[in-house]
Amino acid sequence: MKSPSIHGPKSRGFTVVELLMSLAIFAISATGILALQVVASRTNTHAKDLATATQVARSWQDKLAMDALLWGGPGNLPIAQTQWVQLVNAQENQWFQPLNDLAGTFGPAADTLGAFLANPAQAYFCTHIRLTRLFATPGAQMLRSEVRVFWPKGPQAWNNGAPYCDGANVAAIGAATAQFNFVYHTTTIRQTPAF
Amino acid sequence: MVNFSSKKQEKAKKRGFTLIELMVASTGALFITVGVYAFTRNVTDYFQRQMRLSDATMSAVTGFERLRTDIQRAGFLASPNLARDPLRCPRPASGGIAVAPQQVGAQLTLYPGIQQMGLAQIELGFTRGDNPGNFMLVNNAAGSGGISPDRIVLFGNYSSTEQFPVRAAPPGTNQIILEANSTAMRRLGIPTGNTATDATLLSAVFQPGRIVRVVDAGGRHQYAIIANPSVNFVAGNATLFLNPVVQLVYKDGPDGTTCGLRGNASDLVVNPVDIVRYQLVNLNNAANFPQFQALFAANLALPAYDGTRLDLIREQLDPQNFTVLPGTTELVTEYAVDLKFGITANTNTIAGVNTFFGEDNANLANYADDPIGPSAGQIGPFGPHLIRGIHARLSVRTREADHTAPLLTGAALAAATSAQLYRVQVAAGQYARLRSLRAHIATRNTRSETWQ
Repeated sequence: MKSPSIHGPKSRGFTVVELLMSLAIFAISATGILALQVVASRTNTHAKDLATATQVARSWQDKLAMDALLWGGPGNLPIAQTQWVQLVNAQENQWFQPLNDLAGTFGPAADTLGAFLANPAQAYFCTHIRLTRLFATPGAQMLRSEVRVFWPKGPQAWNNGAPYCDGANVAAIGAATAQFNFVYHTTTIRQTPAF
Repeated sequence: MVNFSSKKQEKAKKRGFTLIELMVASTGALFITVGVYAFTRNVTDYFQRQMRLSDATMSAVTGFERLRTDIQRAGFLASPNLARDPLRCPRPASGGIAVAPQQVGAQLTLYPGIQQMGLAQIELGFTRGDNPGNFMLVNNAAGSGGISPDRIVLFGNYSSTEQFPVRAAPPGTNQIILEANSTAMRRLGIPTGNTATDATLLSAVFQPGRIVRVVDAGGRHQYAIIANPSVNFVAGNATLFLNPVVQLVYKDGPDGTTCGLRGNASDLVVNPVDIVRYQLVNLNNAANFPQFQALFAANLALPAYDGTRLDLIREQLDPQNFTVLPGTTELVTEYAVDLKFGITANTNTIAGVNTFFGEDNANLANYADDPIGPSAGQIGPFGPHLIRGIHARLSVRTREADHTAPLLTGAALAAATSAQLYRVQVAAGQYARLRSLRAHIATRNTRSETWQ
């Protein structure tokens, strides 16, 4: 006959299984909290990137508007006088990566702070634009300007870290929503009236 | 018969923990408690840091949007360079020589806010000069000699989007009788059926002491100062009162001008012109900013470095002396660190060339320092009417310094300008994180101004 335990079943310690289960629950909880930390950090970084990219896109739209001031106006200047707007003739309705301005003070590449980078190979944010002619009325022409600013979802997101701001693969990048974050901005710009 | 064995077992069941058991359990519990406490504290701190960073991002975004909106509107229904504006009445001196505008005698010299009207004025490094020795400004950005925030003054109609038609402006009365039944009035909600309410609504647009712009049918414009009280509604007439110190110019008046108002001047439109200034200030100054002292209340238990913080404010200025108009100071962004500007200007109006002058560029003074150029009487293709865009950068820090070292180190830190900072030192060995936004902002109200 089996003799009863001195302390009875109520006073026995934890079994190994119980201990392992409690440790597992604690580990899962801790992992969840740590995962939340990572998410919070990424969310903050993404919010910063989104705000910066939005300003880069709006900068481009305003730079295009300033560029269009050199088209028409009191001197009736030709569109060839512009740096970027004239590309509506050669690349209408096509996405392309614009070149830096002639003085090297503004261009498609920007660093993580949104500041202009002369060397596109170092870009974090990169910009493509697309120009479409809406009204061709002489002296009152109007274009639609679309700007997309994109940045990678990770250092190796695009072809294992290959350059993405070199003017190549424009169409492929536009479709690579798994590899890049995008901000799009659209507005119209017009030839400057000759008043 | 007594069962001694059973009694012994009962006794064994009821006994407490041994000292060894208690100490082992206590030690184990202590370790677990310390671990859990450290873990939860770390988690809490982390999320608080992230929250502060998120707050800084939002502050930067909202403040920058406010600044952007006002810059975009600069020059709206105002002269982009009154000293040379060919549509101003009376005309500025010819020959491209910048002279101070005179209206009647030396009237406008009493109102530099009219005399110096232009699209924008940028004062480089003003904030630092106004806060000598500020730890944060001095001990960061070694590559550019420290942080040196600018301030900007913008001229334009920021009170309304309307031009109000005029019924009459009889000579010698210093009064402009507005058309009470205009669509501009109706968009203000006038008439309400109560003339006192109508006057209140209209005086919110035409506020005492502000500039009023008067445009005739030929597009010529001149400027005056709104009196106090500014408006009234009597017998169906909405009257705008002008300060007699600056008289309107009448073509058939004694001035001998070739332009001006004719007869009772019934073909005018008028609008207010405001002077708006953005700058970083230390609000921890009860004498200058009594309305903001709750920000530094003792019960907030703020760290010592909070007392030297800077904030971005927006204020409206008196055209008589550029002092701040009472009740117009707004706190736009707390914990601002830097505010810098550059411009894009049309540097060749004949060939059509836009040139960008970045932060602290000496050429900024030719376009945005003073409407008449770097020195009175200078001849040259300068002036704020040639500005085509303003580049703005606003940096905002987290409220708490949650790092003990900068992100940049070594040569990179030594060469860093304020535009390249990720963290800013707010006290010895204490760094707060930065959020910076920058953008080129087109100033569309000067898009066709090419006169010199």
